[in-house]
Amino acid sequence: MRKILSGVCILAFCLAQTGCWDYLELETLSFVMAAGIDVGSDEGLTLTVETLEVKGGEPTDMSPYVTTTTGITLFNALRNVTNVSGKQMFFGHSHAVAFSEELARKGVGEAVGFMQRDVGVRTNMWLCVVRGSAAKDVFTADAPLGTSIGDYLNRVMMLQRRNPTFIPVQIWEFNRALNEVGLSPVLPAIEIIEIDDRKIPLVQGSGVFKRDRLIGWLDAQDSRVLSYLRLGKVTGVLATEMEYQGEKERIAAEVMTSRVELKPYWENDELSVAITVNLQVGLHELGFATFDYSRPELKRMAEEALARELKEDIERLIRTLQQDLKVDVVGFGALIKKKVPSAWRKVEKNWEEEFAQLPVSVRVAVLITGTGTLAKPLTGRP
Amino acid sequence: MQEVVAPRSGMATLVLMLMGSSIVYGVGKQAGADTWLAVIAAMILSVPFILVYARLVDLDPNNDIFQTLEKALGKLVAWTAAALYGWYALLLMYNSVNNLGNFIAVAGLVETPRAVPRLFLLVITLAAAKLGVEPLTRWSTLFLIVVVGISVFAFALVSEEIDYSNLQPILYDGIGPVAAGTFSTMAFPFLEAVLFIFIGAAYRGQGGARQVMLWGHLIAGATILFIITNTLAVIGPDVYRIQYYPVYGAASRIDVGGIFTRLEITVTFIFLATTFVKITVCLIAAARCCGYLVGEPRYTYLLTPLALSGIVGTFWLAEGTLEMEAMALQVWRPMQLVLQIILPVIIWIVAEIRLKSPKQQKAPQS
Amino acid sequence: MRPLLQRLLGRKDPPGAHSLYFSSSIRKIREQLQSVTFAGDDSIVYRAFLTAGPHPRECFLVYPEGMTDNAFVSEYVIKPLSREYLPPRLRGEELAAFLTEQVLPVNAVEERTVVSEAVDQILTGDAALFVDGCASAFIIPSKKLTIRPPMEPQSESVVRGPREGFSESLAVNITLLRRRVRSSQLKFSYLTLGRQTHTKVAISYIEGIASPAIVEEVRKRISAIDIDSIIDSGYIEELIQDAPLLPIKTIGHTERPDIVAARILEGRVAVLVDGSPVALTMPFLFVETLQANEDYFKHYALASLDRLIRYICLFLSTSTPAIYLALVAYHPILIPTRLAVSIAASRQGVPFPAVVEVFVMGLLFEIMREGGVRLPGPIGQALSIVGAIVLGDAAVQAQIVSAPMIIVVAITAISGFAVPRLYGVMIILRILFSLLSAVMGLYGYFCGVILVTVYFMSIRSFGVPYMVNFTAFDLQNIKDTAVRSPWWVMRLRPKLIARRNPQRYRKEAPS
Repeated sequence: MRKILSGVCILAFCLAQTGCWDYLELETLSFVMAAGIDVGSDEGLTLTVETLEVKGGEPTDMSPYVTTTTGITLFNALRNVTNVSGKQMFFGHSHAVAFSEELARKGVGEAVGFMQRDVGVRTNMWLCVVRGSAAKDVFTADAPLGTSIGDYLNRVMMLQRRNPTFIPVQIWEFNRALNEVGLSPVLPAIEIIEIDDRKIPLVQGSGVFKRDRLIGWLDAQDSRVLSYLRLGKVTGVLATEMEYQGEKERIAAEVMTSRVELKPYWENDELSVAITVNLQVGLHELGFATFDYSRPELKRMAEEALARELKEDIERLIRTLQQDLKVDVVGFGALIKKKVPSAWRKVEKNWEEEFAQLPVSVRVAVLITGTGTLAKPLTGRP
Repeated sequence: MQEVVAPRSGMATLVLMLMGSSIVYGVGKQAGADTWLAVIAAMILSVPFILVYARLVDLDPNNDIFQTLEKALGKLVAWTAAALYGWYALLLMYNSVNNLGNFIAVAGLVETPRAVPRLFLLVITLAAAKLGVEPLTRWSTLFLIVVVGISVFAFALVSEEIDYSNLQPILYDGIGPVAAGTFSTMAFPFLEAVLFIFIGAAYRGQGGARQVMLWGHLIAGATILFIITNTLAVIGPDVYRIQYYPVYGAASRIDVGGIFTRLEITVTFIFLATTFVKITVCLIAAARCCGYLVGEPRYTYLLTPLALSGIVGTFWLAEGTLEMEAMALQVWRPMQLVLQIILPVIIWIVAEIRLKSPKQQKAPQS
Repeated sequence: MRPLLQRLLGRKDPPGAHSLYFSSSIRKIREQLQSVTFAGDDSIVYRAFLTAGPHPRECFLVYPEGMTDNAFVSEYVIKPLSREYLPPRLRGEELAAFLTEQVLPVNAVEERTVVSEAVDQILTGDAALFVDGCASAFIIPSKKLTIRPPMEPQSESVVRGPREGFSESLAVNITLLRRRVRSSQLKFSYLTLGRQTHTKVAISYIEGIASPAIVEEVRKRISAIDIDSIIDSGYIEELIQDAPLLPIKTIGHTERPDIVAARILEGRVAVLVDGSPVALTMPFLFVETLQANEDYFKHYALASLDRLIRYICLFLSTSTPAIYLALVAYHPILIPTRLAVSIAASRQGVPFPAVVEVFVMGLLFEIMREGGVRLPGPIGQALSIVGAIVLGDAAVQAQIVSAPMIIVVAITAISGFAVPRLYGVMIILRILFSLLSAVMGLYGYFCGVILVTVYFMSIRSFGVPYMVNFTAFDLQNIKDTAVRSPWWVMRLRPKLIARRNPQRYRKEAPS
């Protein structure tokens, strides 16, 4: 009996004397949906957070609310937000963080490191770079469909598969690319464009990083190809121009299954990489009214046109990377290290130069396996 | 005092004990991408020592380990061994409590005083130790299933992120890091099974300690290998090396269609459950050793002071995660070498010779 | 001699027992009964009569009013005896033999020479016959029991299955049991308990199936009971159970003979108590709290599903408030974004912190349950309406509690009712888990779960580990744990209880 009593006393003492330290009330939190980081005045940072402010009652009213503060570092700025808004910033449900171009050129390692380290931030938050304007401006833009910008960015990133004009990157991926040798990070780019007097933060293209510093951009087309190579699969729509019976028209196909293979070779002290792309596509759009794809030779013609286009795209991207940017964002180095470690040992020291010289061969094979619901072109008669 | 434990339950306890705090921290980080190799190598290299431990338990099926030692090696050696292992068990307990306490302080309860989670842990450990070895082992059989189930489930959910090419290239940095990783994995966690000798008396007579410890060791090895390899494949060797809690990091990557996310808390449960078993085993081992030292085979009354010493002891041992890391290298390594390898082997050899020789065999009978 | 010896030794006479044995003088007997043993008790009837013939002898009958069949006594005792001629030389044992063998046309006449034994018999409703010249009482089995017929117990009604329930009479209950197990191996052994009540208790088991160690343990524990009264089997349950720390049942109780029959056929021991319609069965394992007898009459797939639901309910009822509290107050990161925001919205303007809400609402619900449980139907309904409207709707409307909290309380309550046998434990666990959650979030909750499960593991019910089905993972044990396997699969009895004679179901008839 005395034991039980003393146990109860200890428990009561624990509860009453010391209380609940990490206890927090949900309604005292501000749910951050997204954040933007700019370079501020005098060596500091400017942090813009978009929070979801909730008002009770029926039906629940939730509206995005944007606050901006400054601080010497990100952590510092983050705590400063509390004083401005009177609520604790809660990053657990945040979707995205946008860096301004200026900041990205100075280096984002500090900020990303902080976010990876802090347990309050989930590492599957999306990262992106704002091209041409301040990160702050993203949050003053008009979110399509009247949602929060964070929510909008999240949805765009999730739908990347359907239109891969950028590569979605989460904090952990960026961090891993920073850590891994032979792989440079990229982040999706946001441009603020105007459509019908509405400012829309459009996600397309990529910012290319060397270590944690932004050194250049890839346009939407190159980003699409980079996405194929990095994610190992071709998704979205392939479109090309084709000549048939003296006419030049466009055809477009949707990728059904794809295999992208990057294979390094080490022969006679010569390093090379072969890229093989195998595609099965469904032909979905035709410029010609009379192109009868049911005939094998015509089908092959369309396949070749698509393959040629993709091959050229890949080669252009490699050229851009090797000659203009000189950064291995595809991860050839990491691949070589894994597959032919003996070769990597030799080139590891000066990989940057080696990468610029690396011979890359591209082979694309396309097979049209479907044509939607139509067996013949719309005007079936030749 | 002698409780009878089914071999399977004893096995489960050993498995959970070995998993305790090793999967919190990750093992063999020195080996980088070859950690999985280091785990396999450590698992195989540990087997002879595990057999030695089991043999020590089985030496004399009627006495407890200290009486065996006393008979074979004399009172002084038995006394020294009890003192050393009691000390080791206590330190290992502080260390494991520290590991989990730090994890909780870093991953969840940032503002809570660090003594509070530790106190909670020590209190449940104390309660379990008071209830005896037998309930603990039966608890282990149930929760081994839960723990393995959760880990398989978690990695099944994160399967999209598993990329075994992260394990390549094999042996890129040569055999050195792998060897380092192997030895550190042997010392932590595999050969910590040495403490199992001191609670081992319970399952004797039902198939022997060898079966229990060998199978427990192998199952623990397989489970740790499964968890560590998949963790490595998910987060990559470079991140594995720099993270304090790589398994937790891997689990936080679970995201199936935006519905099954944020499941890392289930991994927290694994950490808690396995560390709990480890601490309890350490506590019982420490109490038994101390019980022998003070000449009192009934050890239960020693449990409370020993457990409560942990509140102070954990802070005395190390402040924060950084110091833990540093200490793991400097202090533990030599101590582990002596207590896990040298001492048991010497004791075993001498004991075998002494106990086999006819003189010694007659003496206790008369 | 004996009383003299007793007085010599200075021992005090127990009240009401002047002399241990009946004297041979009928007047003395009557005087002793009337003015000592049953002094002041008006409900005892003394019917004196004389035998026929030249030397009429004085006889008298003693029986408690209302408990004895009057017609039976007058027809088969008074009538034949008053017509009989008893020669004066017929005395003592000869008389006794003559009476039992020739005069009384009653199936079982017992002779008692010890006063206290005869008194015990009289108090059960039998009539005692005294004949002058014979120093003993003849016990005539003339009980007229007014007992409740075996009807379906309200607390354990089933949709399908037998409708009989135990009644308050031990004899009837034994009949009910024996009707189900017509085997000579079914044993009942009697004990009498209670210094005042002298309650008859029967330990029942099937020899050859039940483990003798458990039977012995039960007998030992019951015989060790020294209490003045046993009104219901609940007394015995509390006095012999293991693990008294938490209200964990380590002894099963039921009002249904079919359940008792099933349990003793699994090798368990049943204890029936006279005057109580509730039989105890032991050992009682944790799984049984999650089993219902209907499981065994239903299709096994449906029964297994029900059982699974009960496990989920057990989890929900003990853990919902704790987990809700932990998530809301410590780990909002773990709540899906939309849900987190909507909980935050519904908590806007609520004056109390979540932890206060959890405990106050929990308390209010328990008050409502306790208030309503013993009310007759119509009033109970009124209570539940008040509870539902006032506590549920109006409180949310007035923003005194948040809507999610109401849902949490509702889930807790409903799932609690699905496992009624664990209700008491669940309340305590719920409070414990909520407290730990309030201090350390999910870490505290996990600590609580570990603590409680280890404690459960340490419990034994009559030597059998309480949680045995959850730790001894062989197929045989699991078959009736998480699922209810079909009978043809459960061929063997539960291992740890019935070590002997394990076979339950045979595919082919033995040749």
